[in-house]
Amino acid sequence: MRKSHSQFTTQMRQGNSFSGKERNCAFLNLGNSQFANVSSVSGLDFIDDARGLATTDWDRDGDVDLLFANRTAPRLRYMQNEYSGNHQFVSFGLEGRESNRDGIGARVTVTQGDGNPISKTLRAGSGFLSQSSKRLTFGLGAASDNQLSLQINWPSGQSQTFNGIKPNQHYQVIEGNSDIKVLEPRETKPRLARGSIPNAGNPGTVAALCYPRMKLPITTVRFNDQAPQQLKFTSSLTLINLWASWCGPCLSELKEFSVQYDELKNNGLEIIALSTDGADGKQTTAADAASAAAKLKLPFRWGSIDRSWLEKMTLLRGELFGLQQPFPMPTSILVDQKGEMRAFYLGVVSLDQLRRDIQRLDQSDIEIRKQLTPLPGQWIAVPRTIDNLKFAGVFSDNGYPDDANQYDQLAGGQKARQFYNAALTSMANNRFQDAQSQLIEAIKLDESFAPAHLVLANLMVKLASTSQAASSTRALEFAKREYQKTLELDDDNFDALVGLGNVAARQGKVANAMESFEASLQINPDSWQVRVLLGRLYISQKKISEAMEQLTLALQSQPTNGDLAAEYGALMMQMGQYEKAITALRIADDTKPNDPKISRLFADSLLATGETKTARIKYASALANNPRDLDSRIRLAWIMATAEDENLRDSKQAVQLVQQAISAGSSDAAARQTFAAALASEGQFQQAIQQQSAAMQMLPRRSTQFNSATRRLELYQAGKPYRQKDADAIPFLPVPE
Amino acid sequence: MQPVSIQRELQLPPHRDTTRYRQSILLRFSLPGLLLSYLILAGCSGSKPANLSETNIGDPTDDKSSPSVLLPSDTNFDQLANVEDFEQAASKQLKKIAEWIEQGDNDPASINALSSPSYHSPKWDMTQLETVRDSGFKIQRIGSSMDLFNATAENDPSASLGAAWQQLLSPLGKPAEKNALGRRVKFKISRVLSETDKVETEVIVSVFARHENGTSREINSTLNIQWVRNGQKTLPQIESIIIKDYETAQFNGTSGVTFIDRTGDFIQRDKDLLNQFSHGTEYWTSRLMQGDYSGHFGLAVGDINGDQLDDIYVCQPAGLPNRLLVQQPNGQVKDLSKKSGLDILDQTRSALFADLDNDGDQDLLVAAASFLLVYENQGGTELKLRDKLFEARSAYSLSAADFDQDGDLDIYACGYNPLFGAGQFPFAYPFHDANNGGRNVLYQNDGQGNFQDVTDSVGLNENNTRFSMAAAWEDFDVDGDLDLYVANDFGRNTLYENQGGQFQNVAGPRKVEDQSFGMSVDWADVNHDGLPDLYVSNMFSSAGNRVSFQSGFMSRQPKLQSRVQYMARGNSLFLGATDSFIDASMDSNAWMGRWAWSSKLVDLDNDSWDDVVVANGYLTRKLPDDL
Repeated sequence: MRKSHSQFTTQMRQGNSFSGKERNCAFLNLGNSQFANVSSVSGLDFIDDARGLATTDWDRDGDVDLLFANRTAPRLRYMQNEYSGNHQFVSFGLEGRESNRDGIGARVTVTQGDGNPISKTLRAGSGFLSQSSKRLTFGLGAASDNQLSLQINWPSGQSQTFNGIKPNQHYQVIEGNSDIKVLEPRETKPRLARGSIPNAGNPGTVAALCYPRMKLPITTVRFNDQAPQQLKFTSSLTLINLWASWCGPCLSELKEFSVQYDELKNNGLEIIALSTDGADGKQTTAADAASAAAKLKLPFRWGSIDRSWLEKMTLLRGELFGLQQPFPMPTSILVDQKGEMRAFYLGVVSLDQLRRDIQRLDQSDIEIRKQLTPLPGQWIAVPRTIDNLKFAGVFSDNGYPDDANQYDQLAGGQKARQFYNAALTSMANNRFQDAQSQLIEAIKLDESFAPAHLVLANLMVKLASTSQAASSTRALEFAKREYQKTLELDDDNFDALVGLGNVAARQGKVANAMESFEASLQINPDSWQVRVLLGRLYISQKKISEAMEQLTLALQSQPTNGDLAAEYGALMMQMGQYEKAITALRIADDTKPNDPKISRLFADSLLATGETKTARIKYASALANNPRDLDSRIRLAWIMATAEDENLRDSKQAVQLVQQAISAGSSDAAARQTFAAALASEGQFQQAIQQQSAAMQMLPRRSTQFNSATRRLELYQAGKPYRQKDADAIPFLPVPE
Repeated sequence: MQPVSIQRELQLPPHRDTTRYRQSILLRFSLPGLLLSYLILAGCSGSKPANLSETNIGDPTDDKSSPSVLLPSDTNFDQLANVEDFEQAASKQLKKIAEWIEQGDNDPASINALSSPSYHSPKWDMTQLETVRDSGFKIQRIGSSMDLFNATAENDPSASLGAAWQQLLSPLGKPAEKNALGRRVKFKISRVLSETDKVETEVIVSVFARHENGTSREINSTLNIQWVRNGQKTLPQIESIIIKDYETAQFNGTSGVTFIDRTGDFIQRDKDLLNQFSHGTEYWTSRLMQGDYSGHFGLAVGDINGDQLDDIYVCQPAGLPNRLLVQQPNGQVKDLSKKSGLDILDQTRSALFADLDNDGDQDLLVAAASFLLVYENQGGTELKLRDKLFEARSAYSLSAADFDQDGDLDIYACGYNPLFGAGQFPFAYPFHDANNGGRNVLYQNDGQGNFQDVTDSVGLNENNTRFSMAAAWEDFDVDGDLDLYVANDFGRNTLYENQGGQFQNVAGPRKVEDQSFGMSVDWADVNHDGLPDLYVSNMFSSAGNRVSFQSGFMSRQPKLQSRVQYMARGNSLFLGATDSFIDASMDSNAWMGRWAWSSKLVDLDNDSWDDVVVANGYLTRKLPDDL
């Protein structure tokens, strides 16, 4: 299969036609769902390779003209409709008001007397790569009725009807406007002469600056019967000239070069003439080349190349110019000291052209690209670079391993990017092991490719969090090294600094982590994520005011960021600053209503500020979104056991909920206090006292929590259930300091 | 930290396996519809590659025995080669007849040598043709009263091949002495049914002739020609001819043909424009080292300066400036590319004029290789690059419609080639139902001309990795919102029904999947029944028809065989009906659009009935067709 693919490709490259000389078609609608072939008599059946086709009543004479965009010359055709029968027309231009201004999508219906209505829809874009005129022209046949009615269904849903429309008029309709205007007639009636754009036919010499520049294939030359040697480029520029003794134009060109050689050499241009005699399949031999060269007394070096080099150049031509055929004779190639091709001349090159081009070669790729075309314009995309990997593949496929190797090495960096790219795809598909080896491969090919180091480091952090402790430690060390390498290559790489901080934080090196985060904030002070990380570190160090500062700064820059608001709210909750917490958490809950963690935090803040009813709803929603959320289970049970409002209480379910949580592993003081409260609410005071006492064993004496717990124990001992009071500490919420 | 954004910044090339590179070239140059040629080539090349069988995406309803369409084991390649050999030989004989017709030779004896001694055919009296239309165009067809199989003539000793062709050509009128000018003949052998020594072929004939009085006429006919084989060395001879179909057309107008090319004067013979457009694409690609010779560069018509005269924007291959051609009062154009800021040199496939911000002037979208460019009209003919949309880079056809009915125009861009991950499988596979192409994008407009990719959220990601060439909007179910038809190369097309801004593909139930090589799409009510009808460009392939109708072609996969036959059929006309569409392609006679690209439904003669124009031809190059 592959072979047939490349057979086919080669055929294309070699200049074969494929469904060529196919004539355009036209089919005349006979009105009974039958069409007649009028391709030729319509005058449209050119053999062009046509692509685009658009319709427009260009000259506004009431019939539709055609525009063709072609692949072959002439590449543009304006085809004027010369239909001259007795058929009438009417045309409409539309202006939307409530609808889009162009009225695209409007359906226009014209009715003549008792005839069938004719409808057309206004479209933008139809056919292939084409857009036709926005003026809708209706043919009316040999109209018998001079009165037409018009209905327009606008895309807005509005519908308008007009009567008394006249044939052979061009109208303009504005949506919602009951006045319909007739267009002013054109000042001049176009009278264009017959005649197409000519087909310019075959070109003379093709001169092309090489863009993007690429290295010449390995060139082995036999000079004066010496052993073949690989051509080296010692001058700043060398003109490689392909010639043969049988080629008349080649010999005159060489003569011209000889005359001008001194001047060219003074301008830094060396010439090397390469004879194809004996290699190009013609009758002549290297001896013929030698005698021709002797006769010419060439002042510059000349030698012979072999058949395989010509084959390589044919492949090269196929790739660069889309035509896989031997270069014509003569051909000259301008090569710089690096061995990179800078200009091609297919045919005899004039010295003026050479001088002009040499002047241009010092310019940047952007400048050179500008000068590729004789017709000026502007480029939007950044300049391309040559795809060396592609050439490596081409030469490898065709049995030139040395050349393949040359381009492979040049492609090192490119290949690294390909592995890198593949790794990104692997990561997106959760194939992390593949991604890891692809990134390592990329780095092996190009150690200075910073993005590969960075992504590899990120990947290792990811792997560290899912693996066993020992390998996790190794992965983090690996990640650290890769972040450091990234920074060696790119010392203000923000992502690497953040990553390094992350790794340090995970390794428990808080000071290092903080340093990295602070450094990353120097580069990007707007990064709220880093401020959050930094804030967390401060919290872990009990530096609450510093933490607050970071989070406040972050929140100021991102006042509607849900994640950030949640982070801030959690901190405020931790500090017992319930009012500040509730504001932030409300924002968080608005942006992420289904995040169970945010729902719980928000509910905590509601409960803490006495909004028990809403708190209950939010806990329930947290639980619905994550049934394994034991904390929410306990909190919900607390409300059901202790709420002042008896509508919120459900002590039976409270017992159930808390029992589930305890049997699933909750065993802290808050869980037991909640259990106690639920039992007490059910009237099971003995068990309540038991649980409450157990909870109090876990609480530090003389703490606010302990004092509140004691008050509850006393109630249970007195055979009374507990009802939540604002002043009391809630078992699972931090107490304001 | 964000792989995606890093990827974007670097504009990395797609991952590509080197060994597959050459295959991917096919895709890059977008050679559509090569299935049949592949089958022939594949037959010569042998075994089935492992990587293809692994990734079979065949239709589950197809026979399980032979999963790959690429190299069907149930195909008798000797038989196919035999058919193609015969076609070559018969074509040589037909070419002699073509030359005889083109030379206007009066002597029927000149071609009699091409017939066998047993030659026989009925006599045809073309004066009996029935005129089915005689205003503007005169169209004649075989009437029901005509006897095409006049049995008594079979033994007519005067019957000869030359006489038969004289009868067939008689509507053209007698060619005047030395008036061979303007005669043009084309034969296409579209079926070969071979027995041992006799072969029956179906031949599509088109003949065009200009008369001295300036009028012109054409004959389009399908003939059944029977041949006698003459051994290996000598060419086959014609034994008989039967008419299957016959039609002549004449344009009655004084201009000889309906449309006259006036482009030279149109561009005022502007030197730069002449230089640019008088050379073919390959002339330029050979100089500019931008090897895309596909020629897929389109054009847009719109009124850029609000003077109520249409203007043109022409897209060009890389290295040549796109052209904004602004109409002057006298109908000529003025090149305002530079002044407008639209003289883009990047490779651009298509463009679209539209008022994107509803401010009363025409803005412009340009589908460039690296971005979909959004230009805002600053008034007059000056435009400013306002946005570069990344998702729809390298797009093919563009279209705009207000899909969500919020009063502004949204954009749909067809993505033909996959932009990333092409290395996985670098060519369209399987050819009859490929779903490994590029992604089409729907951009929603916020009313100010800012766009957001909403393809996924509106349901348009369904069936969205086909090789989409073009799309067109129409309210096909007449429910007040615009639906979308997408023409896909290598397989099924999609019809997305709009249901309150959410889309669902209903091409299957509506019977418009048209599983072929979709190239373009247009809508119009061609039969005046109030329901929109659909015209889709595909690829007529005479080689495909010859091969896919052979008994030895995919003999164990009748479904796949008929699918391949369908793919070689040509263009499709689907008539709107209340439930599913009705395939009227063959009955309507508007199917033979050759290797079609842009097709338009347009009323050429203002008789109120929309006609069809098909732009076509793939690659005309120095060397003739090899396949």
